[in-house]
Amino acid sequence: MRDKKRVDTLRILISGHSALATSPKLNIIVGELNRISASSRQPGSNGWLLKVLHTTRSLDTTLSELLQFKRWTASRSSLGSYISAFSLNGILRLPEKQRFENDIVRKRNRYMHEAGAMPTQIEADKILSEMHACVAMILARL
Amino acid sequence: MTRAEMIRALLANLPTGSDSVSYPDHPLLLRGPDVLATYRNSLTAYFVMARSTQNSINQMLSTALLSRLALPLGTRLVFVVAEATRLAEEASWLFEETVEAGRNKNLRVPVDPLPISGVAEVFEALRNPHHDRFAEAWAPTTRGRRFTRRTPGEPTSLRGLTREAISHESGGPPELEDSDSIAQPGPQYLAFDNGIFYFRPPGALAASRLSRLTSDAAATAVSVDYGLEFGFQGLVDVADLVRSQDAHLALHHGEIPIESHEVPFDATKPLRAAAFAGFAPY
Repeated sequence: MRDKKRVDTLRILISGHSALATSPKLNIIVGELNRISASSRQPGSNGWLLKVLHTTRSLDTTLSELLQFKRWTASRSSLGSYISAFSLNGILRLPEKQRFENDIVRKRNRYMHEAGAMPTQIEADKILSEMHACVAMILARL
Repeated sequence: MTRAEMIRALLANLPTGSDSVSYPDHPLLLRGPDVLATYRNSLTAYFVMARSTQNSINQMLSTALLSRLALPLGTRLVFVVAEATRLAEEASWLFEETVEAGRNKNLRVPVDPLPISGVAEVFEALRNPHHDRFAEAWAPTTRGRRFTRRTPGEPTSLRGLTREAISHESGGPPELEDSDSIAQPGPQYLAFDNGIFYFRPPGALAASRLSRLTSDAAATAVSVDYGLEFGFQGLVDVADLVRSQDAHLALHHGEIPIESHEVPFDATKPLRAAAFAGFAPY
């Protein structure tokens, strides 16, 4: 239930933000967010892996669209580079950048690239929590 | 109407095409708006109050202030009250609009973009300093990393502005007064020393009780840091002091356990949200 509230809150924050409201990818982002809740209903580690996938994909596209709106460039098209770009432009403070790199990017990379790596429910939830905090902080500071 | 009935009436009267969430779960807020809605590319936060008492108004002001700083720039805040009392009217300065629900379930719900209020402009001077303090309070939870910000002058919580000082002539920020003249605010579990609050909740508390105490401590600290006791002019004076670097937002300290078996999701939220209210972990 709390998982759904978080995703619903995130959806409203993203779709009501002036930087994203006119984005051609807004519907895709919202669809990805809705898949987070749907994957939570799948039992076991497959569902948690899907939750990590949809969480980080929605974050990836949201940050990419925000950078485009601000006309800021990232060194590469990757989640880590997007987070660095927000740090370079003074939106994320250094410890926040390091936290999100450790708790979102590195964990996502492990679960997406390493055969057999499966998150626990707590790990999948922690990635969603950090992603939620990352988006909320950036949206509040733009 | 009860508060729950008012929230149901509000949701029922949002226009077709709007999207909303009741009791939103914001990662930076212990208490936030009761409803968050988006309509025609604008974001509106609704704060519902069924009974206006001095305590509930004080809590509402702190909740609305933190929400304004946690929500995106341009978010409109709407205060929904059961009836327009004097107390509710005193708090209305922090909102773009106040709506009286009365007994009418066909509540008029402002949802279209409202003009940005003067108070929203004041907040823009405070947004960065507030988020810098949050970064400092939150950094120790990131594997021992630290964030250092500039802290010029004394804490704003030591202002001790009298009502006479607040009505000062324009032409510079108000003077800081001697901290000894400030009464000890808050309950026993919340000590106040030299502008800094120390939150030490009693041990062995149920999670819901701990959450309530943390929220109350945050409300007290926010009220003192931002001069909310003195209304809009108190906030303007704090913004002037911070902007002119004659004062800074103090970093407070709190004993808030991170893990709780009663919080299955986002176990770090109490600590993160307390940090957003200015409390760093001991």
